[in-house]
Amino acid sequence: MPEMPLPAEGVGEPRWLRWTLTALALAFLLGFLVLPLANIFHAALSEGWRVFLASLRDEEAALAIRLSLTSSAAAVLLSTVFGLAAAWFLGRHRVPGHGLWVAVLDLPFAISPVVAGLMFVLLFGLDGWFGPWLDRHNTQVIFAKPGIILATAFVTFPFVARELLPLVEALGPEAEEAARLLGASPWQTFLRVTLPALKWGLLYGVILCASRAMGEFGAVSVVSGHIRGETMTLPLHIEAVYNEYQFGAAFACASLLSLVALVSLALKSFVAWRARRDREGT
Amino acid sequence: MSIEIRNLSKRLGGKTILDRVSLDIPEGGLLALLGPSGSGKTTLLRIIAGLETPDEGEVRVHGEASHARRPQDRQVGFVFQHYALFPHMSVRQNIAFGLDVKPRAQRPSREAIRARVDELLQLIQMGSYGHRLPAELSGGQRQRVALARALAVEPRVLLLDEPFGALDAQVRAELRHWLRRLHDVSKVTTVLVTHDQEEAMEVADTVAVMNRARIEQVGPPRDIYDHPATAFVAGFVGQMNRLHQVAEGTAFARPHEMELSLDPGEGQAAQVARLAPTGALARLRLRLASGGEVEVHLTRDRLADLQIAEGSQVYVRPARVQVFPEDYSI
Repeated sequence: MPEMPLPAEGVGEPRWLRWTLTALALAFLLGFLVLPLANIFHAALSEGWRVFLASLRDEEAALAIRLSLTSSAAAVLLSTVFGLAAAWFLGRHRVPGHGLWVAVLDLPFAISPVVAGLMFVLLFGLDGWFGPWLDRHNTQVIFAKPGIILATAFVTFPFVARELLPLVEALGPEAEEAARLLGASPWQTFLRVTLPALKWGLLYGVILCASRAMGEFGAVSVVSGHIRGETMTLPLHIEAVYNEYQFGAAFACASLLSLVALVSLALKSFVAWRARRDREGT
Repeated sequence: MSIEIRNLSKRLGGKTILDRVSLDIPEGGLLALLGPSGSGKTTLLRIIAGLETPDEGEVRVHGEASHARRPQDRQVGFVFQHYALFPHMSVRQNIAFGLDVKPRAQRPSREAIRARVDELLQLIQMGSYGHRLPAELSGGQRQRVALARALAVEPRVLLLDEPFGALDAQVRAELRHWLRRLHDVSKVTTVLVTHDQEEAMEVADTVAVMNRARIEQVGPPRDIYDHPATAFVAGFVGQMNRLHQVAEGTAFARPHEMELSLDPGEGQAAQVARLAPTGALARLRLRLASGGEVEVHLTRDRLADLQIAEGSQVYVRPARVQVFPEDYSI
């Protein structure tokens, strides 16, 4: 029998094609992602450290940063609680139209954020369904913080739910049934069995959710009303100062937002690595 | 009686899963629920555990309706086919779980829990595996841990749902002997669901054969094998040759109850189609001259006497036949 020659480099595509594709991908990454991002930091510091720090310490910028942080935190909390509930419910119960419900989870991703914002205006605005009732009770949702939180939560809702749904399904009902028959209450079962199994997925979803919440522009822009010093989040503030030709200030704030993105990216990779390590049990 | 099942019915989506099932399981016994998949045995087990509710009828455990208690108060040990261990907990933590979650007033001290876990680790012969995660264990080891976890809370009944179904043949055989020894020591009333008749016959004191949502026969393994009540039981428990129609129904005979001869006139003419000498018995597949095939088991001595091989011409007749009114089908 003739000896089979060992394939030197797999049976895939030829070497030149691989190199070309890799080069193209790298050039794209460099030209469209890395360079522009690096340029933001460059532009932010182009007028020196003092201008940079002053633009962040500016009263309106500080208020915007604080509003972004608090409303994102609230939105992440809402998304996490509802995402966990939705994933658990859809993963455990064979409801009629299961596929449709899972598709509905993706609605906030499919819909333009501006439209999402308008939906909330139609619901809670003065002329909206609940507007008059809210007005009678002296509560303002639209053009106020609650509206910003709701819009952000809506846009970021799928991150946690979609991340957890496959994990809930993979865990299956048996571990929970075993826990119950071993004497655990429903709450003990959730805390000791369900939640630990979802831990890394949950954290991953929360990080994605938080970084998106910090950067959300479209939906928030519609419901915030752009009231300076009151309902301006960091992305809205950046746009406003940019439109006033304060490029230094705009880029200083933009670099802050980019930093948030980079940190969340690092955290995300760390969590994914830990989750993989746990799964492989090493 | 430890477990009394009365007229249990369960329907799901227009399909009858259980049809007026009644069964008594004595204290300290080991009963096997044996049946093909879809016969309702797992649903019956899950209803006994209280994991599912019947449409009609009731289950009484030690004289008390099983649904009167919350799941966590039922004191039922349950072992799942796919182990259902808690993946993020070590073997020790898994075994200790049922003790750890007890209300403070009933919870044993930390030392008592540790001692109990040590004892159970010895019992499952996994003393040095306490700190491993389930992912680091073999299937057989995982199932032993699942058993130890169920036993840790000293359940009043132990329910096993196809516990060895996901394991290799050799591990299965080892574990079922081990389970039997364990039961002889612990004497906990045990119900084992299985589709493997060999497993049921080897391990259980009593076998309940299920088919199409009903229990067809309950009895000691020997009775079930020697005196099957229905054609289904006869065919499902051990092999059966379906011979011919008689006035009362169909005649059947076990492969080891068939006689072979080389003399014409000593039964039906047949040809040896396949001969597999395995173990103490030789298994022969005969093609009847009249059409159809029968299975015959001979001792190796008898095979040597006859001096036959594949292709030989033989004559076959049943030494004992059993007649069942209905035609059986599996």
